[in-house]
Amino acid sequence: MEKLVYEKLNETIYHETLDNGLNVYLIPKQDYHKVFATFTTRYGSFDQSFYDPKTGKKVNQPAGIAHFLEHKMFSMPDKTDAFENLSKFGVNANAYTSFDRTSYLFSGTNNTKEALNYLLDFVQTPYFTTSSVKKEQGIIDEELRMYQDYPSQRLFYGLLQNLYIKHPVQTEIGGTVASIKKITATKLYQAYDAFYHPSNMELVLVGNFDAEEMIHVIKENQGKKGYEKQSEIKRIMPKEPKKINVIHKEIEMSVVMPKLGIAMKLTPEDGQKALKQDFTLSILLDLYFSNSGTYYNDLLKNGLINDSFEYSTIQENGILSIVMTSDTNTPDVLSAKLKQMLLSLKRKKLDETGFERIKRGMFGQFVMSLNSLESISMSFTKYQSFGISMFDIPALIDSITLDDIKKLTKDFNQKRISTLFILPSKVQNQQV
Amino acid sequence: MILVDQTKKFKTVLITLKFKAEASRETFAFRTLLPSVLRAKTNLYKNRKVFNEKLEEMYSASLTSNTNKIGRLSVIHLQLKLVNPVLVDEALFEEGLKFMREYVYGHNQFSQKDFEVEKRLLLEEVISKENDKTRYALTRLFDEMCKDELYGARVAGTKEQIEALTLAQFKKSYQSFLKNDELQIILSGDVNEAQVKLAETYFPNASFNQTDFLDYETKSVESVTEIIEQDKISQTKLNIGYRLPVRQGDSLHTAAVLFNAALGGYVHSRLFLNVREKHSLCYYISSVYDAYKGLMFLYSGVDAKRLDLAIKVINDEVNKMMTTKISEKELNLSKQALINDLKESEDSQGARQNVLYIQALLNKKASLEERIAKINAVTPDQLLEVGKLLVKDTVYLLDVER
Repeated sequence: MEKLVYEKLNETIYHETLDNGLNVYLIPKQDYHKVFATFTTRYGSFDQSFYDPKTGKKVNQPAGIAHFLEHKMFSMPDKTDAFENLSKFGVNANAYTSFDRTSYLFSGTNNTKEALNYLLDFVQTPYFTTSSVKKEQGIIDEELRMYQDYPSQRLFYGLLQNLYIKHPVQTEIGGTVASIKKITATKLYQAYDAFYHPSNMELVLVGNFDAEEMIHVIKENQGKKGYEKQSEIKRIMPKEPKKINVIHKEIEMSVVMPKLGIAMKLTPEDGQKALKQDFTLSILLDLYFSNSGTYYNDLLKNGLINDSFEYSTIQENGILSIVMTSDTNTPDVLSAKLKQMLLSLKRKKLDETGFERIKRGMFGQFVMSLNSLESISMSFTKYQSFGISMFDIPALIDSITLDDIKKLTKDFNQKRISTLFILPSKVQNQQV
Repeated sequence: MILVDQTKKFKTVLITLKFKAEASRETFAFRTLLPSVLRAKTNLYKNRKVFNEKLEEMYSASLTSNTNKIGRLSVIHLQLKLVNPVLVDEALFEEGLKFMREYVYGHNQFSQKDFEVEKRLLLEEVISKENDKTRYALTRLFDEMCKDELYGARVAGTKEQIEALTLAQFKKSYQSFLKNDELQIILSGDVNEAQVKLAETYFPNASFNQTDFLDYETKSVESVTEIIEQDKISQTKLNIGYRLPVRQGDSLHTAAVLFNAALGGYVHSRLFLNVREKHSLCYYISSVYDAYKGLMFLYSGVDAKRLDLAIKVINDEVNKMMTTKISEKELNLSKQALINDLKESEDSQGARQNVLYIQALLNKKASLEERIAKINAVTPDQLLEVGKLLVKDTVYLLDVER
């Protein structure tokens, strides 16, 4: 096992790549009671087209298949449910699918070795039948329809659909009612065989355990399974044009106050550069839109926003954008104002003191996040996919300069801003 | 007196101020609004922007607040979370104390404009919460069930109360808050003796008086009250309130906690397994026991088309718990889950601090081991005893428009 010590932060990580290619990261914390385990495949809603590693043939799959597969992983050949089986060990189990990965996880204070063995076993036991796929289609159909009733979900995906033309980010992670109908057991096996090979996966454990003992448990479990080597999967991503899809859209829903969403499409970099770009953008937004920012305080004073105001960056493979949302009585006024504020950042002389203050704050937030085993485990998995350890993030933030911000704002373009309003369905004429 | 949770486990230090007073309907709106108005401006930090800049300078220290009711107490909780000063800058701890003192006491004046902004924000928050139908239906249950009791009052104040609050009243209430609220300080994390002393010099007014704060207000239930209302929603909200005259410190208290756990506290509980998993009648169902007040309630989101069956299955499950003894095996599931929760909460700095505070209020100290032993000692007979004390009080139904 390779041992990495981050003295300043008082953190130690053990890493080993097993013979079957599985990457194992162990972060022991003896003074905690809990163990938090995540078993992750780099397979998410983006991965609809790829070359099958076995046949080399191009495969196109329906939107939402990664999420569907996650649901189906819990059905076991003996007709039991893996979620219930895990719960019997007294641990809390969960799973989630995002744009670029699927994670299976549990946390608990007892029977953690047994639970870990079971976690590895059930994720490595695919079992899909025609009838069970059919049943699941009904359940997910229901779930997708339910999301349609969530205003914040509609706002988020609505904005992405406004911005993106070809990139799969514009389809919901769960797919659509139509796309999931096309999913079959055969397609699930095809996806499973390609993406659930240990060499495309990683296991992260944080919490109360002994690293030597745990790696032994994991090796013994994996050694029995006889995986053969598999070459790397080649994914196919459509080329996304620079321009946006739609400039403005309005939908009606049952909300008390109108909701505004505004988003700007930017040109993303690759790999670690993309990560740095994302942090740079966050610093800039914090400078003006956090609760110490001039713009935020102006908007608040003028009654244009309330505590629901949020802003964030969306940074994914081939994606970089800014998204802002708020409840507001005057979406027209607010959207004009935000547009103007965003574009003004191109010409702003940046305040150096503020810049340093925000960077220091980001470092503080990073240290604070290390209190939570969940957050360590999630961030670790996320940053690992950029080929960087999360404990190197402070250094990355520290390397950002005012010039990086200037460079980034050159890419801000009026033509790539889009807005979306959700208006209360009862009101016919919105007062502005 | 300052409560201290000395531990090197976490990377943060918490400085928490708890202000407590006897809860009353008249002051809820003021007490909810207070923490936000205090951060809009102080003598030293002239506006919200510079106030928040100071927080960022302190390595993004996070200042959080909430106002809650615990039994008959209203507690305003103000907490500053700092990166452990040892990791960044030793002076940070005192800076934090100074900041918190300024935040609470540095107010020679309040501006009308800031006051109005904060009032608007609180109002909009209260209105948007009403849009959350699950929460709304629960508030309505307590409105009806505890009509003439303090428990029925909205802790954040009602829309009308917030709207009616004037700056003059606010100022008066602030003075009375300074004079009458009791301040308790809790420090948590990698703090030393000298830092505790330092906190005492910054807050010489901190004190603590033991009182019985449990809420004994109740009523005799002649017959079950049933309220049905309708709304434009897609699933029916079914909430049921029960009186359970077992409170903190009573001999059956831990048994009551386990009773609730076995009935509807977890995913292994009877309500979840039977109503949701077996019959697929609902989207969520859970039960909650309030040991400060002596009541239990369950809330659920039910398939509108099969409402009658859902009501029947729920009633059957509750009745079974009231009349038939639970098996050791089933009880053990709940014990295990509860012990797991206790241990997990030891991994959260905030949760540990809460335990410390509640123990101080109750004047009871118990180690984790003692608390676990207490859970393990509960018997199926005791759960049945608890069940026999349960009295159904009110059913509140927020139905779809039919």
